[in-house]
Amino acid sequence: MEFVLVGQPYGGRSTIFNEVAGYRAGSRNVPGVVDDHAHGEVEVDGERAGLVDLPGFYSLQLSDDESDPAVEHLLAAPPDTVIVNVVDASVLSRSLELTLQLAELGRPYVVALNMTDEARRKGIRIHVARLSEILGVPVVETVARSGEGIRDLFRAALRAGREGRPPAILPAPPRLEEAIGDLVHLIGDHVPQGTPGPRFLAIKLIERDPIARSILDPHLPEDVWSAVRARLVALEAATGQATDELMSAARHSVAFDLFERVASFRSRPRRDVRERLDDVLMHPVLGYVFLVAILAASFSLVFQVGNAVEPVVLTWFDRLAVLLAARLGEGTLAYTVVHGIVAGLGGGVGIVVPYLLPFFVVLAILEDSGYLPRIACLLDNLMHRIGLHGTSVLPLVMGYGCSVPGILATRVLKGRDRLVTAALTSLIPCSARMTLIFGLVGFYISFEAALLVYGLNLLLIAAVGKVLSRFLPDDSPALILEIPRYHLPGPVVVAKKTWFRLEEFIVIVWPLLVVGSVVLELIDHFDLSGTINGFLAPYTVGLLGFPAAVGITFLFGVLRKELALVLLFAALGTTEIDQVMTLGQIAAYTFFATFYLPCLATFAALGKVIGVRATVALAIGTLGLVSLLTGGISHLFG
Amino acid sequence: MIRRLAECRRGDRVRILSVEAGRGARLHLTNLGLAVGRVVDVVGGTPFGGPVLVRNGDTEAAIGFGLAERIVVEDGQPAQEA
Repeated sequence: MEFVLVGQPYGGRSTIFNEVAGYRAGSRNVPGVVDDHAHGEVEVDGERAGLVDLPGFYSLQLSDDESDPAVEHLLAAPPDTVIVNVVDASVLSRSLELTLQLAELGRPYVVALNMTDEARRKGIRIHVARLSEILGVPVVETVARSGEGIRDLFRAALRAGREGRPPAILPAPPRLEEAIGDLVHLIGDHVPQGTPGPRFLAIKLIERDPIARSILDPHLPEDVWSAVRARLVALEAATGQATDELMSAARHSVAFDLFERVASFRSRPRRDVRERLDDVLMHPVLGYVFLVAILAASFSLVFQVGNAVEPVVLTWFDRLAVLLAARLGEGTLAYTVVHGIVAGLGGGVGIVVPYLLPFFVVLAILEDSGYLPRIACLLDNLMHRIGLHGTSVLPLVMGYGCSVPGILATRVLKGRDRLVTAALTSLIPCSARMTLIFGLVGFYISFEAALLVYGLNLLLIAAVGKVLSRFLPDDSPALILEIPRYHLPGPVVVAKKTWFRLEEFIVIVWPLLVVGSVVLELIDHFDLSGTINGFLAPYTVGLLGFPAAVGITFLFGVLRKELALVLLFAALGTTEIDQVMTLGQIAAYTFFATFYLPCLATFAALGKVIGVRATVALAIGTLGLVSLLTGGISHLFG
Repeated sequence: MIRRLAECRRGDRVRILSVEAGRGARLHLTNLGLAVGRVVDVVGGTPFGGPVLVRNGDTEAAIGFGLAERIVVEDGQPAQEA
């Protein structure tokens, strides 16, 4: 049996997922931004079941020919799937519109009436038993943030899955219901096995949803199609309204009626400080002051923690290396391998964790508080200057954490916006590249110089955005973005999110770092680096103006960006880089290593989102541009 | 008075009369409770062509200036909804 968490953005799906599944889910307070579906397992009364967290969506209606992977996953889910509809009780009326659409699927589901504490604060009382009776499914009150009601929720889901009782159908207004009946009658015999039932498809036809056509097209004879079309035209003529608008208006009023039947207002809502917060944070002038202050404070916090911890840890690993050299004898193969492992581990602990940990904490707080979408709103105007919309800010900001989720997040965008935003996101210095910038420029030159790199990067992004927008005209809809309530970020939620992100680093990236470091030591041991560096020399020395020894680091930097830094120390045989490279070279090296090519994982994400051809073109373009700029920097300042 | 959403000011309460945009944008607006016929409060905006902030019941949304220029509204008191 598998449980699928479905709900509108900001409803608390991912918080529930993180609460019960011992695996990762990005509970980002951003629509559509969960790195694909998060999979996990949950144990209910001794029985194990799969658990999927689908990205949040407002409606099962697809907007155009583009597919929504979350909706498709749901439609193709196996028969033993139980939908867990996570509903924000404090915006119940709107949330029920999605619930009604889930009911149309005709398969068992349960409702998690989440954030009931928030609803109570607003003075809304919800009659759970009545709601459950009307919908014909279990309804469980939960407060995901504190774990309240979660166990009962999954017990109810398990029971619902075993019983397999279909939910109640809440009829649409008579004229629409009549049309649904006629369409069901027309297509009923042709609906293929393993798809949602005829009623669901009939409604989809009325909604002019492309999914109806893609499911029915291979199975419906031409005469049935014309009968369907005729029936839809008749409905439109009778009501004088487009059928899709008719359907969504009907659903809205059914949901609103249902809301009025199950909710009562007990008291006046208590105002709290959060409602006043936007007077300042979204103020036409002060909003920007706070935006800059908040971002600057976040980044300087990250830097200061990193700067304090890094040298301490590096010293430990240097001592360990000396100890090993004495034990194993410098120059032996065993020493080479062990030294490579130690260097790789040290690279992970000493350079990456001090930066990643504070960054993820800051990102989690920004996300969880609900401030991220506000950043998008504040910067919408600015983004127009480079031909994009405020929604593109979210992937770009996420890109500062890791390019991969940032690029995957561009899937909420369409066509050209997606292409341009994905390309620009790949140029944002992610946390791995941040370690390069702060570990080299920040450490050897100055903190201000590191900030300057970020500033120059923004200029580069603006320029590239401008150029790309010039070639690709704007064809996208404007910004439409929900501005969620503020939340006080819970320490548990922030800690879990941070841990899930770090876990990925520890499990996937760290071993790569160790392996890469060992391979480099072996190359060094067998004296192969000279050959490789010699081969690259015309490029690295001639064009870029670096010492020949650094050539090898670029090969590994594609694997993982942090590797370039770790390996730079190894390749140059010292952690005192400023002894062997000029400050100009260090700056140029940092710039080049940061931006010459995105890492392998980013390539994979780009290929998925914008296609292989665009990805290759982007890589070649970036490499060419960055090479020229780097050569310029080295020759000017080297 | 009939005007565009983009011309509204903070504190205005308006009814949406029509949305001159494609199916995708209309659907997205509908999902956030901003369909034709609904009454919304304008709760803020950013200067120089930034998004307009509107609230419909419990949902607050930002609408890009360009789109707000294509949404026709009239002064409105809530008729069918709280």
